[in-house]
Amino acid sequence: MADTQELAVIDDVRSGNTESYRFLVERYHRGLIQHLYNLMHDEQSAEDVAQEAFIRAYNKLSQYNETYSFSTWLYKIADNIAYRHFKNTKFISDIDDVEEFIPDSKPTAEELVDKKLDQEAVREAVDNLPSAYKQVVTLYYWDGFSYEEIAKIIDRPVGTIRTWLHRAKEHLRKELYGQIR
Amino acid sequence: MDKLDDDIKSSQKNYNPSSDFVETTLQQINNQHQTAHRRFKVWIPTLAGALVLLAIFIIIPLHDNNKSGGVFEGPSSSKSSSIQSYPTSQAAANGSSANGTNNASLTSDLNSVNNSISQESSDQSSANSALNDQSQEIAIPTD
Repeated sequence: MADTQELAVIDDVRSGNTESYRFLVERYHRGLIQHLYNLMHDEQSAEDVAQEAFIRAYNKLSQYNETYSFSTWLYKIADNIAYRHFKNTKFISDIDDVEEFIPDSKPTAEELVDKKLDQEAVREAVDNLPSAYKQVVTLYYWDGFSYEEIAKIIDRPVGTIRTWLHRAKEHLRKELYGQIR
Repeated sequence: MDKLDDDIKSSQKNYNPSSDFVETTLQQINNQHQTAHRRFKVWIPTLAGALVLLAIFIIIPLHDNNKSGGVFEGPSSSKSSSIQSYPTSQAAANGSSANGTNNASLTSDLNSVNNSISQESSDQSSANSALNDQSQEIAIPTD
């Protein structure tokens, strides 16, 4: 649920005060662009999609359901736009793809020894996840959303989010540590 | 929270958005708002004009036609149609027309008949006058 200040701003914008929307853009643009950048790895695309998301949210503000937090709703819009932008490249794969996902190849012992478990390696491993898993990991670890909020953003039951996150971590463990804990 | 959780959390690559992101976004929203407003300003007078024209050329004539009685097809000078019409009071007495619309229609018919009769009387007078004139012209004094 949106906080009181946010609701007051939203009411103000709804009643025609466009300038009040600045508050929402300033509050959420960094997080949203960062989230999109994590998914898309392209600065310009991340900003373009974020901008489109803010404009669309403004235009559809009358449809905003106040039981959601504004950020959840905004991220949902942004992810939908990003999905359409990258539909051809399967930015977000469907469930079947996720279920069938098998990591490329298990690293050899030598590779494991040599592999640095630095930030770059973790990022790379997250990138190699199926896009649905990657989306959940990014929203949970990097954007700080709860299971319930992620469920609202990507329109899946909370149980599915837990399962996907669990499986994503299993894949990452295999990839990074070469074992399942 | 295990090591993997920490590793994932700390691996995020930070990206700082453009400094003018907020301004350009708000500018775009304002532009869109103004464009919509301009369209509104153009379309409302156009629509109002179209409605006025529609009222002038279609609705008002139709309304007037209905008001003067849909059954009545204009004044008739023929005697047969005049004979078929009868006064409103008589129609009311016969109970054939109980509502105001029919009364109005019958009154209109009656007026039309009266006009026709007056016209015929006038025509008759003109004819008589012409005949008198002819008679006077024919009666030429012999000396």
